[in-house]
Amino acid sequence: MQKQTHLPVELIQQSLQQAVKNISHIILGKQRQIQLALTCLLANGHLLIEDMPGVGKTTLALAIAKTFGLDFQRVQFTSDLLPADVLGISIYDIESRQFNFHSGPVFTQVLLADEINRSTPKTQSALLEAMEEHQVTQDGTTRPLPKPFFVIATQNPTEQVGTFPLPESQLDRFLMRIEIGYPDQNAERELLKGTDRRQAIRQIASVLDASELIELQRAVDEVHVSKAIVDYLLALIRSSRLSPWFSSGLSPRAGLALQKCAQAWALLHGRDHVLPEDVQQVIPSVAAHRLQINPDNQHESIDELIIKLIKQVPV
Amino acid sequence: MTRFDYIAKDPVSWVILSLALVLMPHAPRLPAWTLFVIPLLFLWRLAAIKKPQRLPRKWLLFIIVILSSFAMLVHYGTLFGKTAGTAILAVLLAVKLLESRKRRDYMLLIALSFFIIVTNFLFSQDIPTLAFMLITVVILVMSLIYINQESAPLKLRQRFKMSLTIVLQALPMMLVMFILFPRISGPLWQLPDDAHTARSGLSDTMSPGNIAQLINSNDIAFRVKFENQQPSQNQLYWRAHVLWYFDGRSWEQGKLNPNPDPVLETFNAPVEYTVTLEPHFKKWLFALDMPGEAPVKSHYNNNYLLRADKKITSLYQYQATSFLNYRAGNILSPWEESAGLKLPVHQNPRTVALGRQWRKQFNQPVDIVAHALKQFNQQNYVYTLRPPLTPGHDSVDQFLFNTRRGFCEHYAGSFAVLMRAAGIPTRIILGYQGGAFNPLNDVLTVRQSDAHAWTEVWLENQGWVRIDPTAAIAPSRIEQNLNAALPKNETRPLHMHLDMGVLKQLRFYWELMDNNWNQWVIAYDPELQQEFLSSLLNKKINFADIVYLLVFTLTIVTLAIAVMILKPFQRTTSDPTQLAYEQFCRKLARSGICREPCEGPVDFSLRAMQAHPQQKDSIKLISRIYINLRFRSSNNKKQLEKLRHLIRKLKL
Repeated sequence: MQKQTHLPVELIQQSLQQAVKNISHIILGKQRQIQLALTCLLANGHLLIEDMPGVGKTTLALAIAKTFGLDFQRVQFTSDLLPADVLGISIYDIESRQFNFHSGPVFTQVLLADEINRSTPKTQSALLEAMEEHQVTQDGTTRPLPKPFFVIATQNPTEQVGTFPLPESQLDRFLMRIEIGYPDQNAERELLKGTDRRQAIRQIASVLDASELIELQRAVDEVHVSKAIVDYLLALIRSSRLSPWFSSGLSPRAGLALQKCAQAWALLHGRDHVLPEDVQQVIPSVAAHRLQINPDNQHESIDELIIKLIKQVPV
Repeated sequence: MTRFDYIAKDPVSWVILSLALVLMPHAPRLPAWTLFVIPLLFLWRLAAIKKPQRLPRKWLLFIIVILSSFAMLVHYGTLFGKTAGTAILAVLLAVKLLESRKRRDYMLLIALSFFIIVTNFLFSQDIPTLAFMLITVVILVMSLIYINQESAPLKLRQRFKMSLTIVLQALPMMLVMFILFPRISGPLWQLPDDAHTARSGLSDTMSPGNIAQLINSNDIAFRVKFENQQPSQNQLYWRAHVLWYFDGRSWEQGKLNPNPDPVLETFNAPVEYTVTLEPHFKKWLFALDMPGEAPVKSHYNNNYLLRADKKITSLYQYQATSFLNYRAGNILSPWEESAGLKLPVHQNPRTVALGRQWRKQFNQPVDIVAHALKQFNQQNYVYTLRPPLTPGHDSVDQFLFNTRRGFCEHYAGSFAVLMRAAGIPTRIILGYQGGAFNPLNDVLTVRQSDAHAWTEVWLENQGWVRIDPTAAIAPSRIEQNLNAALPKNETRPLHMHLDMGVLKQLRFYWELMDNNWNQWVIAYDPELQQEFLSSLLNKKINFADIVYLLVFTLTIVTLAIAVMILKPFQRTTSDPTQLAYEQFCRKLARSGICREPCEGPVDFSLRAMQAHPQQKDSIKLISRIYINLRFRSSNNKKQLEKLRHLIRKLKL
């Protein structure tokens, strides 16, 4: 039998609950989205938020950075943004007679890449490379990015004018994609009554720090994935590949992502082992941007199809 | 091209391979010109794979059909019947191939091929045919799979496996149908006249050379299983014909012996045996000297011969009894006396003269017989398969005084002429002598090469006595077999060379199998079916019972195969924890809380607790232990026991 994990799960859960609560003060009525975002952070992946402007994407990113006591940078992606604007640039210094590297906004712990689909593919790919490699290579010098490094990219729905939709291969770099959606009535009432959100962010205290976050990220790998869960994951992946609803199934990388997110979700909920429910909770966010709907099946949304996929595979 | 019109690339070569295999067993029976035409048409289709414009136009195909039908008509005189029918079918199959382009066409061709496979059994029903046909069916199913596969073609091995699976799944069905399908006496459909094709076998006349010719045939004439005792080799005289009439060269049956009720006195218990006769399209039944009484559906004639009521057109089995110690026809009828002494005038004068001289020389007919046999034995006579020709009407003279080399018909014939000239009534008996016992199942196999001719002479107080002149010249022919009797330097037929050592052993095994096949499969007729099923069910079976039984068994077999394929009861897991948990789920399901297959344990327990608040704690505990065991990887026996215990105790 595999080794028993001895994670201080209760302690971890307490601090994570605190973090969720902290962010919930800022983003009202979006508990689940916050949990998913933290899951993504714990799983050491990058997050893509896709929604209309003004639903609190930026606020969420800011709140996360603040709660975990992380450096925060924000880049507004526009169509004329160049890779150097993100990564940094070497400038010739006349006094020292050499090129000095001026690091770009990517050298931070939390990077908000706002409206990433509005920039050109060239700039997008520069960022995505940095995300994948956790380092930036410029002028032959490789510079590591700080740890932890967490990119939250936001994307407006691609139907809008003047956007460059991310290709599938690059979507795959994001561990999760979530939608925030409009708040419900009560939350919206609170929102209108309350103070300015940006003001509130300044007021919230950090619950954890960067080193603690790295600890937590390590703890995610310790969460036990039983043989039964591996079988379940395999069945889900296989089913997605055989299903006529999708033109292509989940990739092996998607399988790994699913497992890791399920582990993070379990940890977030104070467990040292993964349950089928954990997988079911995270799979819409992990799989939706990786699956292509079969052209014959356009009348159903990807989320509906994923629910159908879950229903189809016995636990 | 729509999805359903898609055919795998190049199915033609596969279809051609299947068709060739299907037609192969028919090849020896087809007219020679079709053996050129059919491969030619196949090649034409192959050449048109890449360039469909090379395919012939409709009118050309029409002409080919008309021409070949006309040629068939000329060749066979009819377009119907077993041989002509299959031949025309074979040609039409090849023509159809030339206009096949779509999947539907190929499906049709393959369906037709299945039918042609069946027609093979009109000609032969032995094991090699069956084996070859089964292989062909597997290949045909492979072609069907090939034609029907969409986008991703299966590999050859996968197709083979799939086809084999399909055919194997059909086997139980085949067995049930074979055993239970109501049998109709006689062939299923009326075979046309050409069904009785000529084949080499014993004839009912004897002239120099015609038995020696038969020796080349290794075909089986019949098989015998003795019930109580096995006669020795030199007693195995299988009686088929009695020839009275001699024209100087050939012996024939002549007029029917009008002697009423042949008298047979017997001196010991009869030999009982079962004969399985290969079809020879005659009414003759073979029996040991002398048959006691006629088996069912046959009669006994005045020459102590057995004749069936109908022609033997398929494998035929009968039980016979024979007496090896007997006195037959003690009183010579006037007709027999005159027929048994008649000789053609002015023919074979030297032989006749010799016979007459013996008559004066000896007092007793017995002495004449003994003297004649002594002559054969002591003078320079040679027993050979290839005697010199003795043309003309004085052939006995030529043989007896000049060539002195002959086969059994020469010796039997000349002996009979000598005896008749000496005033002893004599007749020729045609039949088989000997046979080979298979040590594996004690079945005696008699082949065409065992054909033999001998004589019967009528002696005062002894009746008709069997005298085999061959035994005087070559005793080993009678004591052992022909092979042993032939001179060392004589060339033998091929089958005699093969009859030694390992090959002989192998042949025994093969014959054992073949015999069982004949006994149980070919001979499975309405009577045997009735008998078999009655003994199986221990009651008398009628036609309706057989039909019920067939429907019932087919249903059972179909269901069994369906269960095997669909596996509805297959357990998804062997994990004891999961099995216990499934028990728990079933318990809850009975109370109306049914776990969805995709529902996780926590979600389910929440639902269950809501439905059964009074059992909240135990449901919670069960779920927790289950989760611990299954998802936290603790393989704890105690916990498992506890889980089982809790589930058993749970009352809803």
